[in-house]
Amino acid sequence: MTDLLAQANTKANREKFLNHLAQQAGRDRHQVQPFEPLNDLPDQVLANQAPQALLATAKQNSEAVAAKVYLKTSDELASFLDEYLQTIQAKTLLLPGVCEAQWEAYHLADWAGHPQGVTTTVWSPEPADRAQNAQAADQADLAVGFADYLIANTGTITVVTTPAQGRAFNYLPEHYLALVPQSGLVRSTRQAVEKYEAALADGFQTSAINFISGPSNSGDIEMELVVGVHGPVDCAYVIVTDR
Amino acid sequence: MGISTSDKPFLERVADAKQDHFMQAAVAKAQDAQFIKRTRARREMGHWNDWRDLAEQIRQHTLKYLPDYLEMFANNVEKRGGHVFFAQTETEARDFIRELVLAKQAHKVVKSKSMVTNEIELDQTLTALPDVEVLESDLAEFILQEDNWDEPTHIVFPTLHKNRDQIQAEFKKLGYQGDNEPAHMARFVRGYLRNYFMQADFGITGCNFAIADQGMINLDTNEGNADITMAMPKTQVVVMGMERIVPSMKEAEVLDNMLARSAVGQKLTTYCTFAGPKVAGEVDGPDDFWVVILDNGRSRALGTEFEPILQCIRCGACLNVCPIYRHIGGKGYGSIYPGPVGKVLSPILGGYDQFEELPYACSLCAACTETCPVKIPLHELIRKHRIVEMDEKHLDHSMTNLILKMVGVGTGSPALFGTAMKMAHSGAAPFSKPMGKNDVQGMYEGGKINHLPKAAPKLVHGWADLRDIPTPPKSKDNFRHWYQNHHPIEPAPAVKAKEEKADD
Ligand code: SF4
Repeated sequence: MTDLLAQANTKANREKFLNHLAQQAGRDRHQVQPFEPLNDLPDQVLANQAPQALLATAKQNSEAVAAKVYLKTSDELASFLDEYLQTIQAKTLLLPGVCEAQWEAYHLADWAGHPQGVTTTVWSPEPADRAQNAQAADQADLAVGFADYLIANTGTITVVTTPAQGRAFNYLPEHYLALVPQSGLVRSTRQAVEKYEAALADGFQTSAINFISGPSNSGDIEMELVVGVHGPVDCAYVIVTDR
Repeated sequence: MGISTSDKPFLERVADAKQDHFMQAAVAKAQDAQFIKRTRARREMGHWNDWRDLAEQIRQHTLKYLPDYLEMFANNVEKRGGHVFFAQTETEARDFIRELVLAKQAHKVVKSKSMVTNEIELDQTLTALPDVEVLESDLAEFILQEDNWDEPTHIVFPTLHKNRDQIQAEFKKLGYQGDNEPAHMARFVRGYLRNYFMQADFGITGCNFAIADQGMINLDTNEGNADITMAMPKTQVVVMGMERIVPSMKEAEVLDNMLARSAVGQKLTTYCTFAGPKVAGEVDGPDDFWVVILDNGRSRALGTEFEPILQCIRCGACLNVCPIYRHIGGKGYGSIYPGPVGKVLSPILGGYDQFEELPYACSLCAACTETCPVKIPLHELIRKHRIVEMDEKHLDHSMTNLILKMVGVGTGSPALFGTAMKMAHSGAAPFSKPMGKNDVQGMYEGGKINHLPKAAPKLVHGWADLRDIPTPPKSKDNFRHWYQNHHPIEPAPAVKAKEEKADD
């Protein structure tokens, strides 16, 4: 067996390949110019909508992708979440391992400390707890997580992977509920991308940025839409109107 | 084998396809349904043709500086702690990944949909290893796998040719006891695959777009399977065609929107993810992140008139408007890349000898060119393949034989042309009101009349002329007016020269 693995990340492997491309194309390497888009359509998406209209658009587009949308103030959240747990008859709950201050920002520190009537697991930010977190996510009836942005044009919420809210947290539970601040309402995927690019340039680190639009689904069997394939079978966005 | 899916000669595959009435009906239904969804989604986006200009510009810019962007991407993956391997051939890519599976002592490999891995026959390679299990996690790919690795029939809807009863029969072998309801069967697969996901130690994904300036990859799915494939196993390998790259997340974001609208009529796929190796402090995701960047013949298109085919974002829209695809389905083409995109790409990747007939299985109706979100001049490239083939082969008899063979397909299949005529209007009915400048439907109607070079034998002409009228005038349009607006495309210089010779 030749040792191909050792060739990864080597100059020899890279240069041979890239030089071949340059030669085939008849264009020299290292001539790259910045990309200057020929129009500004991505910036114009929903640009004419005032904030209230934008919120209505966001709601409509989210419902069009089968997401449930709720508007709540932070004071209403605790009782809303209790009701929600009952409505979906959740027995197991998964919460992100964030600090108390983050819950308190949504007036949820008490609630998150002792959710009523469900077995609750908190995602452990310890890398050693990987397997245990995965089990909890797999078995959770509901995950209540934090989202950054709500994209009006596509009915999308965005979440990033963090130590406190990992990947399995967002994909494995049966039901998924995202708390998203109304201040995170943006018009377009372009706007959200720009915000993430700025954060990354500022040194923010994450291994995954997810744009999620409703519950998992598939049309693979006779093109009939089926909701709930590998990811959550149901997805709720709770827009926190005073945050 | 590579991109080839069949050892049968082209005509036999077409004959097989014609017998498969379920497939034909399913393809027709899918084309019509997708027409409505796609047109609605694009119209809703507004300024569709300007978006296409932007998408084309993004793809062309990236291809122009391809080595530079690949270098930038590789450097950034490395900075994130990942590894990049450039594979010139499918053998190199395959051997590399096999070595990695062995080195990691992986036993349970999970994959999310990737056509490039089909191209390099990765499934067969890995399942041949002792103590290695491989499971496809995309529902359609899983169905194909359970049916003894059946061939996909569409690049976006691989199981279009299968009905619910056939799928139920496959699942029964895995212990499914329910009825043939898609929702129930999907639920069964969820449980079945979830168990596997929980144990998977090696994940393999494709890549919609590599983000050069971040060293991340961008993946679009509706099921969420790619995300779980990237979450659970400790090792991830991304296999990407070398052209699947953009400068930054901004350009990816434009293409993600256009891809979803063009492929499935959605505004965005349910999951659109930018991901890389696990960051220190995070709990899950790949500790070990590898990217295999594959050439496998793609570079043959660079610097040639065929370069635009590398702009492709694999949305499948060209399949969904193609009258020939409607008739023979995906398997007829004998390549993992069927339809118009396949007619251009397959001879480049697999060679003219293997796919010589494909450029002729085309009515040059230009519907593909007009629907392509990144403005690849598909029908012109198909015609260019014919010209190259004629140049290469006209000295011996094989060209005449090939043309005669294809005339047989044409004259033996009047339905093929009938469909071409009807299609543009039947699916379009809900949208056939007069349209403004940026309307998609208006665009679709800008059909063109093409002619085969006159140098081709007379016999072909009768057939080709028939094929070359794309969109017949709507009955309410005045024919003279319609005719005035439909000029033939200017033939390529080489063709002109030939025509003049033939006229002498
Ligand atoms: S050639 Fe164009 S229309 Fe066809 S799959 Fe590629 S991007 Fe889509």
